[in-house]
Amino acid sequence: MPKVVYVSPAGVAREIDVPAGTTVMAAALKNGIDGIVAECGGVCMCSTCHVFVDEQFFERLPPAQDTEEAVLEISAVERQATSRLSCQIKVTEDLDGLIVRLPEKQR
Amino acid sequence: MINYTEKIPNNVDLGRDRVLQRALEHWQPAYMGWWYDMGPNESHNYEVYLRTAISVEPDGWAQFGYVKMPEYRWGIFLQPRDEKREVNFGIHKGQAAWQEVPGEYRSTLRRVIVTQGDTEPASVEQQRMLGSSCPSMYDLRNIFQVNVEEGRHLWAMVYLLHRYFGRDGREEAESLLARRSGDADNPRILGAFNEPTPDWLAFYMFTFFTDRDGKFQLCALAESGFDPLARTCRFMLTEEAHHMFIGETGVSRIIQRTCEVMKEHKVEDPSDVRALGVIDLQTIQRYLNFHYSVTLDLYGSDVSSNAANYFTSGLKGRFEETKINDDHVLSESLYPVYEVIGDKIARKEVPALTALNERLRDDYIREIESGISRWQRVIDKAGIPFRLTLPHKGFHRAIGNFAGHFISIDGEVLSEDAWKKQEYKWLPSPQDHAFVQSLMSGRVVEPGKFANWIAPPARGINNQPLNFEYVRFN
Repeated sequence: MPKVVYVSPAGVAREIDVPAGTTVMAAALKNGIDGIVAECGGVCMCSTCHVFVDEQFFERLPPAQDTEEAVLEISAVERQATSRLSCQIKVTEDLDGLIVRLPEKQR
Repeated sequence: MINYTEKIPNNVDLGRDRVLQRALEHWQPAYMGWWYDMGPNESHNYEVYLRTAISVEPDGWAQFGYVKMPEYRWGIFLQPRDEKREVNFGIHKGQAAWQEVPGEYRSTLRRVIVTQGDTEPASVEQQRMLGSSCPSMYDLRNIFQVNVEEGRHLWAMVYLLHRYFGRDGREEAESLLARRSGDADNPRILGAFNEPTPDWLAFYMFTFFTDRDGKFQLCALAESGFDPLARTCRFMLTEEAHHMFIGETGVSRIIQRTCEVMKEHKVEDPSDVRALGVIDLQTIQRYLNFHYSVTLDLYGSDVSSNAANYFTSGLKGRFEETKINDDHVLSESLYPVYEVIGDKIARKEVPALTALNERLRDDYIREIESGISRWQRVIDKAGIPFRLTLPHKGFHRAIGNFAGHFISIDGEVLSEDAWKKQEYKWLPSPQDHAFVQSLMSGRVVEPGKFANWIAPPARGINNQPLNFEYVRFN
C-alpha cells in the first residue's frame, strides 16, 4: 500500500499507509492529521486542505484544473509554486512515499 | 401526486416516509409560491449553469448543468450517520447521540432550528433585485447559485421541523415562508437579515461577512447532540464554503480593479478614483466596517444564559468542539469579555459557560482577520499605501455589552454627538450608496465581459472558460 508522509509546520513527519484511490485529504482526516480542515468536504470549494507538495513528487501529479487554481488563490497561507489542494490528489502506487508539507494555518 | 423521490434528491429515505411526504405535499407548493414571489426577480425562465447536490459522496455530490431555477432539485441531505457518535459536551457528555428530540429540549431545539432556518430565505429576499445590475454573466450565475443553495438550506431546516417536531414543526415551517426581510409587520428574526442588500459591493460583503457567521453557527450546530441536526448542518457547510469563496473573491476583484485604475492613472484622491468609474478604497473600507459590525451582533449577547443552557444541554457546541482540549463541561473555566465602564472599555473575566457567544464571535473574528489580510495582499502588490483595518469589536453595535454606547472605530468611548459627527467617516453615507449604485445602473451580460468597476476572476466555474454562457436568458 502506498505511503504518504505529512510534515507539520514544525517539521514533524508522520507516515500513513493510504489505499490507492484515496485522496491525500481523506487519508489525513481518517488518520487525525492536524492541519487539514477540508471544510467543504473535499469538493474543491474551499482552500482548507492546502498542502505544499515536495518538489520530487510535484511534477508527477496530474496538473491542477482551473477550479483548483481558482480556489488556491484564497488559501490562508499564500500559495507557492508547489501548492495543491489535497482533496484533488489521489494516491497511486506511483506516488508511494509522497511528501506533503502542511501550511501554518488553513483559515 | 408528486413523485418526491424523483423530484427531491435525498438520503433520508423519503420515498418510504409517508408522514414526511404528506407534510411536504403541503409545504412544497407554498415554497414554490414563495420562490416565484420572492426569489430572484425576473429570473424564472433563465437557464442557469448551476451546481445541484445529488448525494453526500465527496467524489460526486455535485452535478453541474443548465437549470431553470424554479425546476432546481432542492434536495435533503444529511452527512452519513456515525453509529458510535456521542454527545460530546455538556451534562449529557458520553451518552449516545440522540436520534430523536429529547422531550425536555423540544421547544429549545425548535427555536434554534427556526432561527437558523429563517436566515436562509431572508438572504434570498435581500438579494432578489441584484440580477438587474450584475457586473457579468459569471457573477449573475454565482448569485443565483447562492440563492438556490440558501433555498436548499431552508429545505434542510424544514426537513428537521417536519420530521421531528410534528404539528408545531409544520406551523413553524409555514411561518418561515410568511416572514419577509425588512417587513415592518412580519420581519425576519435577526437584524442583519432585515438590512437591505442594495448593490453588488454589499452582496459580496454580505457573502464574506454574514455568510461566514452562518458558517460558524452551522459549525456550532454540527456539534449538536441531536444527531440529525448535526448531520444536516455538516453537509450544509460544504455549500457554504462556495458562498464565502464568491464573497471573498468578489470583494478582492473590486479592490484589484480599483488598484489597477489608481496605478494606471496615478490617482489616489477618492474623488479622482470615483471619476474613473471604480470604487475608492475608502468606500470599500466603510462597507467593510458596516457589514462587519452588523454581523458581530448576530452572535448575540456577550454574556448569555441561553447560550450556556444550549451548551449544557448538549444542543449547540463550540466551534470545533471535539478538537478543544478541555473538560467540555466548562464548570470551572473563565473567559474574557469587555464592557463599557464610564468612558473606558474594561476587560472582565466571566464564567466561560456564559460567554459562549463571545467565544464564537472571537473565533469568527480570527478568520475574518485572515481574509482581510488576503485583500490587503492585493493592495500591497499594487504598491498602494492603503491599509484595510477591522473596526474595534465595540464599534456600531446594537446587541451585547456595547449596545447603547458610542464606540469609535478605534475603540474610544465617545458621546453620541461626537460619534454622530464622524458617522459617515466610518460608515457608508447615503452619498456613498448613491455613488456605488450609480456604477451599477445596468447589467453586463455579454459572455466574457465585465463591468468597469470589477476585475474578471482568475478562472471560471467548474473549469469552464470566462466567456462561457453561464446564463441563457431565453
